[in-house]
Amino acid sequence: MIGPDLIKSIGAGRKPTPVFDFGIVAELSALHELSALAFAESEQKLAQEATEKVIRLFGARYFAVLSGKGDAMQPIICSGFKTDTKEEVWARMASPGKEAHQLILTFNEGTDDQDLVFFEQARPLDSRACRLFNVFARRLEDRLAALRSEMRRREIEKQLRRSETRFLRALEYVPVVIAIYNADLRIQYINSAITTFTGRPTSNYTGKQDDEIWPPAVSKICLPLLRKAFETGLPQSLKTPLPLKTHETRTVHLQYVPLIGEDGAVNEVVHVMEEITGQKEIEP
Amino acid sequence: MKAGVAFSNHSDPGHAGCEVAQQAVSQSGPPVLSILFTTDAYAPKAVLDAVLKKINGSKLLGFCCGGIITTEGVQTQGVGLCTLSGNLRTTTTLQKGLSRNPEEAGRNAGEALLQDGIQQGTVIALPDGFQADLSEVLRGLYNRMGATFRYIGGGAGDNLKFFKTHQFTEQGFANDALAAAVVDNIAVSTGIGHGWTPMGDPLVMTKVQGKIVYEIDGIPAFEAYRKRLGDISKEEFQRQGMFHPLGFPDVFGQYIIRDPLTVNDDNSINFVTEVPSHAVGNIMEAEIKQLIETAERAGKQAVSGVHKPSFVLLFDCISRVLLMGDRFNKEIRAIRNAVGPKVPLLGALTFGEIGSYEDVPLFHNKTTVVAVGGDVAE
Repeated sequence: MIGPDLIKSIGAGRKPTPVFDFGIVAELSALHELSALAFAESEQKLAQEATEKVIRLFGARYFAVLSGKGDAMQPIICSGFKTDTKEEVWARMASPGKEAHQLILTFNEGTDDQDLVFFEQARPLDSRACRLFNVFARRLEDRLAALRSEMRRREIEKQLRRSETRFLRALEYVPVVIAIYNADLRIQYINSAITTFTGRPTSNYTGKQDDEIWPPAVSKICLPLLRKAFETGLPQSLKTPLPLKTHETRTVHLQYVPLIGEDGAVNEVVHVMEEITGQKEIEP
Repeated sequence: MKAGVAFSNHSDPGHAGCEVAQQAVSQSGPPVLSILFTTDAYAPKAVLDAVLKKINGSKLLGFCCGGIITTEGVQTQGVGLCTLSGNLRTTTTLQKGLSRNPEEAGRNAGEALLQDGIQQGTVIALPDGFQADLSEVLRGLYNRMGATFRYIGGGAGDNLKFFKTHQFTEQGFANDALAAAVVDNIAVSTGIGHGWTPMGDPLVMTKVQGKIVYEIDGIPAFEAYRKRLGDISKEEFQRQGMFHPLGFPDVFGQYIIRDPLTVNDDNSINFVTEVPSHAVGNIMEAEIKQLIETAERAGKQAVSGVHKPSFVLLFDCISRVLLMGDRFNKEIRAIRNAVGPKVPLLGALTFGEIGSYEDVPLFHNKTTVVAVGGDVAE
């Protein structure tokens, strides 16, 4: 058993030596810094940030990220290469005698999002550099994946917006009045056919209820149909003369089509009003 | 290969240029490459014209720096010239408009230097030290030229007036420019060091834009410094900061230094060189003795790579002179002793130094870069 006297005798005359291992401090600092890669906002900025870090932290002579699979594989980040082509990167990866200096990591193998991360430094890689470069490459890959997903989401949103714009433009040119009512029975949207029909701009209608925009004789016909569409969830249809102005009556075909949400409730009603005065006149 | 080195502090720029060219060429013979250092008191055109007349069509590379280092010590004003003759191959370029697109300027410089077919050797880069993001310039240069070259150099300055600097080649002179040369068929070996060591816990650069550090560890940069250095005023920081730059380690434990200059009204700090965003580093400290010893080691490292040294080029940070005062000459003596006292030496006090711990060039502050050149071994 080691007694206190023995411990005292072993420690006698020794001073505690302060130990400051720059390697450990450097590893901790690098680890901390690599986590900040997530801050890059675009693929181009990420490439700049990644190159800066890989040069400053690892002293990388060569660094490349090749994205895609097979012939579609292209370099998206390149540092230390003269032509920045995949052929040059492949040639460097295959250069004999450099294996101990190089690290090649593949992510998402076999998919369209496959990335190959290549790194070469001047001195042979030790376990610390390997460990840290693995962390770096994974952080980089995570960020690239997030950026790609964000890019795809934006692309889908762009397509949706384009499609919505196209649809709304088409509605504007349809020669029948189309309106959308909300549950408060207010008009959310109305196309410009109403202007042709009544001579008043669409802004006179948007946000208003029927009794605010039509003469009582008209709203007395339309409002019950709209209410019924909301209440029953069933389409309503009526062909009727409408006294739009004094001494001017037009025959119209009114349709109210409820839009039923995922919860089964009628959230909106689409209203279509088609003038059929001419048709009525020639009917026997 | 033969080298000639000369210095003049004659007050007339044309006379000084003529004097250094005559002396240097008399030592080296007709030069292939001439490296010219001037200071802010010397009209660049007059010096350049005078030198070009005497160097018989030699390629030329140069800049205006914060002071010239000779074997006698630091000269605050003057003209220095190093001429290299022999069968070396060289190409030069002067890229203007550096601050408009630093990365592109670096790439264009690389493109120009590769035009004559030189595929390996040493690149000497002398950019304007005030204007552009010089790390970006270097990245552009390296990404075009690649890893088969060695890179040295430093940022031009004007004796801390922060007004205007000049860069030269045989084509002329410019400011906000990069003067660069590639040279092959000579052996060049380099050493680099600074002597700074970290103090305290690491710090995260949480908000940085170029050369301005707004926040460290989520608080105003100056406040973060005060937490470490004590209750100092902004005026005191100009001196304290000189003794306590920031250092950013690589994975091998080697630190790259960033030198703070002044504190702004919002407690952000201006640095000499861009600070990498979200980098993790330390406030550094050093003793003069360590700085001198490190410079000596850099000299030993540089000379160890050349069989028969013919010349020494030195790029030493101007802030080391401010920090060390008269003792800076001890650093020069230490380097001379390391490389051999008889080897011709010419150096510049720079605003940022270009060199590499590994193979890839980085832009440093408060650092000494020693380059020793000689014949390629048979």
